[in-house]
Amino acid sequence: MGQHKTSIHWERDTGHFNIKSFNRDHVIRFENGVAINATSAPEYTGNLELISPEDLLVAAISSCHMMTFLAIASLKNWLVQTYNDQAQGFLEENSRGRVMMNRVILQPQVLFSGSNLPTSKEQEDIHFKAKRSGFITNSVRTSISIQPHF
Amino acid sequence: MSQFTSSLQWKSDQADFELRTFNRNHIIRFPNGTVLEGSSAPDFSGNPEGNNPEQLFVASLSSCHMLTFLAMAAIGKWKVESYEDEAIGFLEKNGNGKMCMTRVVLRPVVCFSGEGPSQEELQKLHEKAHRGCFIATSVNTEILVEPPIE
Repeated sequence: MGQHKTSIHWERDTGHFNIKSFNRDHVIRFENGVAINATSAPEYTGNLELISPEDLLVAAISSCHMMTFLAIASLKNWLVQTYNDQAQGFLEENSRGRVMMNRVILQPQVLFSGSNLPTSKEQEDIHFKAKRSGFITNSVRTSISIQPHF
Repeated sequence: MSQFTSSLQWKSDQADFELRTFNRNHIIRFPNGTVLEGSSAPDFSGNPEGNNPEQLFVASLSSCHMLTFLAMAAIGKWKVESYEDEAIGFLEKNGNGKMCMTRVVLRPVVCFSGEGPSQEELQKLHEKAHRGCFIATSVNTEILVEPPIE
């Protein structure tokens, strides 16, 4: 079992506390000392220059999928050279009318080196396995679609 | 509907690609230019100086709950002065034996200016925030709101 801690701090910097315009900016601190400035999504009165909880969830899914993919590839002795992903998340109403991160599309592009190279089908199989055992993908209700670029 | 994107890059910096030792460090970029150094969790051969997906997941939930809480408080005309949260997420096996973020405990401390809500009203605000939180709606994780006892 692993524990993961984060802390956040927000304080009002507007005289009023009006729902349309109170400041959404806040600071997130991780245990390793990294601090990031965060806000709400732009559609919800956030600040375009900062990252939102939705951004963090998409990044968590993309990063976790990659880690799991790399672990499975290394077990199969496929030497991965680079892995890039462009992830997209869609905040929309689910079938019950509740807004959530309904869909995430991952678009991984993986380069292998050496003489033992997986076929496209084998790469798809690793993605399939990685999705099934990803710690974050197992923690979300989001539908995750993996569209590899070969 | 709104859309969120993140991109990530990983590259090998070792000749071998052993499960235990391959480098987990990667770069996560958001469209606004924010860059995070990612890794896997230390329990899974990661670098504690990088941010792992589990931390991003906990931060996403903590931040989204707060933003929803603040919006509910503004609607209720309770003027919030500051909000802090020390959130903890637990990575464990679920009932199906799969590793996932089974629980996240939020421990919010909220300061109001003027007369704040009663304990009961405060609890109701957190319950409403939980029900309306886009990220909480997106996960399977059990979320507990446990304000620290003063």
